[in-house]
Amino acid sequence: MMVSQPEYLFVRAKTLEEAWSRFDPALPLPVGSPFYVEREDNPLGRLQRALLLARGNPPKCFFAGHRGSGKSTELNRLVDNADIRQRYWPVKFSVRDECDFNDLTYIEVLLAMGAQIFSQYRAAGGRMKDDLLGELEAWKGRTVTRLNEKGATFESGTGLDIGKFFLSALLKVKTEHITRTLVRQEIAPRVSELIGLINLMSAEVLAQSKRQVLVVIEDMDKPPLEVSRKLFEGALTTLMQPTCAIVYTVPVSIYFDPAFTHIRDNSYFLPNLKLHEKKQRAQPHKDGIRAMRAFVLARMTDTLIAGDALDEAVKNSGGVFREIAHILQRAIDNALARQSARIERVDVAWATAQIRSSFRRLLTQEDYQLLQDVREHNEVRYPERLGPLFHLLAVLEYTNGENWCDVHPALDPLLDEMGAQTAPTEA
Amino acid sequence: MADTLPPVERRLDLLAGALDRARRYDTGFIAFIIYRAESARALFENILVNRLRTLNQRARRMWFQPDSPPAAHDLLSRLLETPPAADEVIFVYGLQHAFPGLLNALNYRRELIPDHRWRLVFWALDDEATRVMRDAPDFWAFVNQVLEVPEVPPLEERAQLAGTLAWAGMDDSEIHNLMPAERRARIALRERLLDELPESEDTQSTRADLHYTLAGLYWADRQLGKAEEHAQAALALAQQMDDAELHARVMNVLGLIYADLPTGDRAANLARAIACYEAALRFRTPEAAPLDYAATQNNLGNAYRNLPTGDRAANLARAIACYEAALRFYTPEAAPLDYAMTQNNLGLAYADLPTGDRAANLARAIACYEAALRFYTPEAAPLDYAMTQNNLGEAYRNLPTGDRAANLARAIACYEAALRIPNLSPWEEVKYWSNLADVCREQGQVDAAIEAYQHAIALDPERADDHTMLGSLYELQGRLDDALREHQQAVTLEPGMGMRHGSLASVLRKLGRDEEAAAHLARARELIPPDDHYNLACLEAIAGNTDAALDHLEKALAQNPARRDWAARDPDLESLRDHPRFKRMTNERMGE
Repeated sequence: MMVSQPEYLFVRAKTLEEAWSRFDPALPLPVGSPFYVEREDNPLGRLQRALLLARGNPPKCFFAGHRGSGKSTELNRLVDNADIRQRYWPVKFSVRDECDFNDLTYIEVLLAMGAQIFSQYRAAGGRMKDDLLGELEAWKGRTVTRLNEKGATFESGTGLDIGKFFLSALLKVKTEHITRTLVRQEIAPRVSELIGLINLMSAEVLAQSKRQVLVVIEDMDKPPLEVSRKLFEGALTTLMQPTCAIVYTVPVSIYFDPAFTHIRDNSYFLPNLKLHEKKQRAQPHKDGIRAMRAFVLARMTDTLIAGDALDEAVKNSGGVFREIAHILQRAIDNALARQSARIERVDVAWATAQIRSSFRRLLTQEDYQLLQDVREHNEVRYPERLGPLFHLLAVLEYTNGENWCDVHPALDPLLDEMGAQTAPTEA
Repeated sequence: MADTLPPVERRLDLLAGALDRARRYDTGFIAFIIYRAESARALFENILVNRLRTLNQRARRMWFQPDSPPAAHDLLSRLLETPPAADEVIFVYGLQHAFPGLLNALNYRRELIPDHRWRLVFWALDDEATRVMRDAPDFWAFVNQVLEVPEVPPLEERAQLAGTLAWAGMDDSEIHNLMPAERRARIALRERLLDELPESEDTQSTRADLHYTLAGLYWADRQLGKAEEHAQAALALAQQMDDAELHARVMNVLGLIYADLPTGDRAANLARAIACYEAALRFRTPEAAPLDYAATQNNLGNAYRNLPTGDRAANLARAIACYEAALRFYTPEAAPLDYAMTQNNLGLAYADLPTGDRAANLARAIACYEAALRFYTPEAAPLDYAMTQNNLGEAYRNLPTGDRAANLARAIACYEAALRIPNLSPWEEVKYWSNLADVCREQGQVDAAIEAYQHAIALDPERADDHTMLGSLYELQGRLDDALREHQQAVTLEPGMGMRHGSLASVLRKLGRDEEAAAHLARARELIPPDDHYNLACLEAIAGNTDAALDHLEKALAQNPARRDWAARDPDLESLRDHPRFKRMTNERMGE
C-alpha cells in the first residue's frame, strides 16, 4: 500500500513538538521534498548518465548502499528525473510486495517483472495491440492447462489477464508449497518463453510510447545473503536477458565480493557520508558535515538545537542519514521531557546512549577486538568477518575517493571501556 | 562511563509522550521494552498503561503462545485483519514463540507500520530483543525507541512484587469473563513469575499464591490436569506454612476442579468435590470469612445439584439450602455479581425440582433469574447475562400455567437477548439457537425455526435432534428433498435412535420410495422403547395404523401436555390430522 504523507510533515519545524515528527526514521522522502540534501559523490548522476548514454542493448545496472543511506530516496529521484522519463518508461516496484524473501528465485523476479510491466503500463492508459494480447493469452492458457493438469488450481478462461495471472502465480508461489514447486518446474525449462513475453511487452511499450521500458526493482538487497548470492551468482545470465533496461538493487556484500567483479562496471554504490578523513578523526570532512547539518536544519530551525548539540549529533551519526534521524527524534523526546525549548548536548548524549545500548547487546568479545582494529587502522582488513558488523552498522564504510571504514561513533565509549587492545588474529 | 540513563519510570514517561506525539502527528511508532524479570515487566507495564490512560489512550495486548500456529506468527497480517483503533497502542508479548515467522514478517514488511500509522510496543526478553536486532535488522532500523529495564529486583522485592502480581485481576467473576487469550496471558505471566522464584523459605508464601492463582486460571481455562497440579502444590505449601486460610481456599478450588473433571466416575468426582468444599467450610465459617463461606456454599450447592446418584429431590433440596446459605452474605450490596450467580444457580435448582408444585417451582426459578439479571447485565457480565437469559427462556417455555403463547413469546425474547451478546462460545451459541428454534417451531413460526436450526447446525453439524427437527419443518413446507437430506443426516448421526428412522420413513413414503420407507419403519419399530408413546404415535401414524397411533398419542399428551402444540403440526402425525379424536386432543389448550 502506498500512503502519501501529510504535507505539513515536510515543512520546516518551528517548535520541538513539530520537529519530532520530521525525524521519523521511517518517514519516506517524496520526490521534490524540501528535505532532500545534495551530497558529494552521489552515484545517481553517474547512473543516470549511464542510462541516458546507453546504446544498443538496454543496460542492466546494479545499485547498492548501506541501510539508511537513502537508496529508496535516490531511486525515487531516478525514475522522476525528466531526462530519464523522456527516454524511458519507468516501471518501479519492490519484490517485497509479491515474493517470499526467504525463497526467492529468478523465476519470481521475472514473473514480477512481467506483471508490473503489463499492469503499470495498462494502468497508465497504455494500450497493447490485439495480436500481442492474443499471444500473451495463448501462453497463459497453455501454462495454466499444464499447471492444472499437474494439480495446481489456477483460474482458467479469459477472465484473468496476463498481469493478474502473473500476480496470482506469485501469490501461490509465496503461499502454497506444492504450487511453488509446480510453477518452478513448469517455468524453468521454458524460461526463454517468459523472457520472450517480457521482451514482447517491452517492444510494444517502446513502439507505442517511443520510450524504452526501465525496470527498477527495489529491495533485492533484503533477502538473506545466501538467497541473494544464489540469485545473482546462479541466475545472473538469465536476469540479464530481458531486452529492457533494468536497475537491480543488490546487497552491499555482493557489491564488494570479488566473486562479483564482473558486475562492478555497471554497479553504483551509495556511500555513507564521510565526516572525517581516513585515520584523521580530528580533521573534519567539511562537505559531509555540511550535508548532515543541512539534513537537520532543513527539517527544523536552528533555534531548536544548541550548536554543540548539533555538532555532537552529526558526529555521532557516522554520516548515516537514518542514524541522525534516530538520534534527533530521541533527543527531542528527552528535551521535551525536560521541558526545554531546544535540544542540548545532554539530549543527544541520551539518544546516542540508546544506540550504544543496542550494540552492547549484540557485540561479542571477538567483535570488540575487530572493532578496535577498525578504529585503529580504518581499513577493511578482514572482510568476511567484518560482513556482519557492516550489516549491523557497527562498522561504517566510506568510499568517497578511497574505500575505508570506521566504527560507529556511538561505540567509541564502549571500546574505550572494553580496552580490548589485542589485535584480532587471522581467521 | 557516562551512560547514566534516567530512571525507568521517567523513561516510561518519555515513551508515553512519544506514543502520544505519534498519534497527534499521525505517524507510526515502534518501541521495544527489554526486560529481564517478569515481575519488573508487569510493574512497568502497569505504569505505562496508567500513563497512557491519562493521555486517553489504551493498550491492546497481543500474545504469542507456545502453541500459536505458524499462521498466527505474522503479526502484521493480524493487524491488517483487525486494525488498531486510533487510541490503541498494541502491546506485543511472547516474541520467541513466533520466531522465525515474526522476524520475517517484521523485516520484510516493515513499511506497513508507518503506512498504517500503527503504534507498537514490543515487550521483549533480552534474548528476544537480540534476535530481532540480529535477524530483522531492516525492521530494527525503524524502531523509534528502545527502553531497557535491566533491573532484576532483589529477591525480597521480587517475591513481594510477584505476590502482588499473582493477585492482579483475580476477581472470580473477572476470570469467568476473560477472553481465552487474556486468560492464557495471565497464566503465562504467573508461570514465568514462578520460574523466577527460587524454592526457599523466603519465597514460600509467594509461590503458594502463584500456585493457587494458577490453579484457578487453569481451571477457568479447562486445563484441569494442570489446575490440579498447581492446587496440590499450593496445598503442600499451605501445610508447610500451617496456613489454614490458604488451605481452605485451595480445597475450594480443588472442589471446583474435581466437580468439572470430564473423565472417571462422575458421581465419585462430585463426591470428592463435596468433601473438598466441606473441608473448606470448616475454616470458612460465616463468622470468620463470610464471603468465602458464601463462595464455597454456592459451589457445594452446584455439586449437589449435579450429583447423578441418590435421591434427586433430596440432592436438589440440599443444593437449595446451600444457595440460600450463600445468599445470606452474597447480597446485592456486598457482592452483586456473586449474588447474581447464586440466584441463577438457585433458579436452576428450582426449575429442576421434581417434587412440589411444578408451576410454583418454575415461578420461583423465574424470580431467581430475574433477580440475577439485575446485575448480570450485558455490560457487566455479558456471557453470564446470556446464560441467565437462556435459563429464563427455558423456564417460560416449560411453565405449565398462564397464557402459553405469551410464555413462548417471552421465551423467544429471552433466547434472542442471549444471542445478541457477541463472542459467545460456539457451545453456548448453538444451545441458544437450538432452544430458540424449538420454541419457534412450537409456536408455528416455521421460517424463523428453520433459520434458527440452520444457525445451530452450522455451528455444530452433529446435533441429530436439530437435523430431525429441521427435516420435519422442511417436510411441512413440502421441501421433500431438503427434508430427506436432513433426516438421512440424523439417521447417520444416531442410527440407534428409532424415531430418526421413523421420520426418514415418512419422507421416503411421500417421495414414493415405499420399499426404503418400509425398511426404516421396521428398524424404527425395533428401536423405539415401548413407553415412548409420542414417537410410537408418530411411527404408527406413518405406518397407517390410525387407532394405535391415537392411543399412543393420548398417553403421550397425558405425560407431557406441552407437546400438544407441536403434535398439531408434526408432519409425522399428518395422517391423523382430520380424525375427530386427534382434533379433540390437540385442541385441548394447555393450562386453559
